[in-house]
Amino acid sequence: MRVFVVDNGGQWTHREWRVLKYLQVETKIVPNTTPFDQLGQVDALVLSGGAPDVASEAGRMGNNGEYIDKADFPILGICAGMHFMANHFGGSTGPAIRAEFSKTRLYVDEADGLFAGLPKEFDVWESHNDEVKNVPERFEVLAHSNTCKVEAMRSIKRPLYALQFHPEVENTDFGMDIFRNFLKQVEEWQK
Amino acid sequence: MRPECRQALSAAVHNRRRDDDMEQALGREFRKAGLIYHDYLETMDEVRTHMRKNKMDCWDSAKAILKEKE
Repeated sequence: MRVFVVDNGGQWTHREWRVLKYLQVETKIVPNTTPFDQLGQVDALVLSGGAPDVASEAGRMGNNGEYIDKADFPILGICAGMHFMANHFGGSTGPAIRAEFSKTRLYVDEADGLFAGLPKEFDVWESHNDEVKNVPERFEVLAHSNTCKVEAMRSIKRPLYALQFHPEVENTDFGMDIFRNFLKQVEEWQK
Repeated sequence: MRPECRQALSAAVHNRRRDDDMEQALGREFRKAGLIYHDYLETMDEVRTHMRKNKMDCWDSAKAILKEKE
């Protein structure tokens, strides 16, 4: 399986790459300016986090829009990758009620897919100033926390998933399992 | 809506592929026309606002907007 990590300038892009590598996936980090056609044959993409305020600086997110539009495979957006996905599909993002750089308790609302086999609540690591304010139509919320009502969401129509927290860092419980579940979704999609 | 955005919206409606989302069709035409992502967001926002206000689907909204502006 080949899953590329799109680099949106996040501080933990390399960790996303490393987790995928650990899970024995063929992976590499690609700049977000890479044209879709130059990605070659991939089975999925991870859109990394990044510094841009996506609502006002969407241009700094490179070709993320093209990837989302053209992909006929699963995509996982993390943090800024999630914010971009929300804006792209008509949702909205804005400053979080409380900017976070800390552990937070996650409450899972939809236990299948990304959270299959995981507890209904566990701790995750947050690092964000912005958050999803309005979920796009045709998306559903998968998890929330006491400080952020959209910690995870997915498209109802397409295999698009997004996380506010960072599953790639060690301080997130079950982070590796979330990636493993994403890869299972990729396998399912290919059937 | 700027004329070049309107033109791309029109192309998105006319060149719609089977199973295309509006986002996919519009994004394709905007990239083809060399327009920037900000233009795409503004145009898509106009379509979505019209859609919600008039309780239509996005394709019918796009057609209505194009008709209004003729």
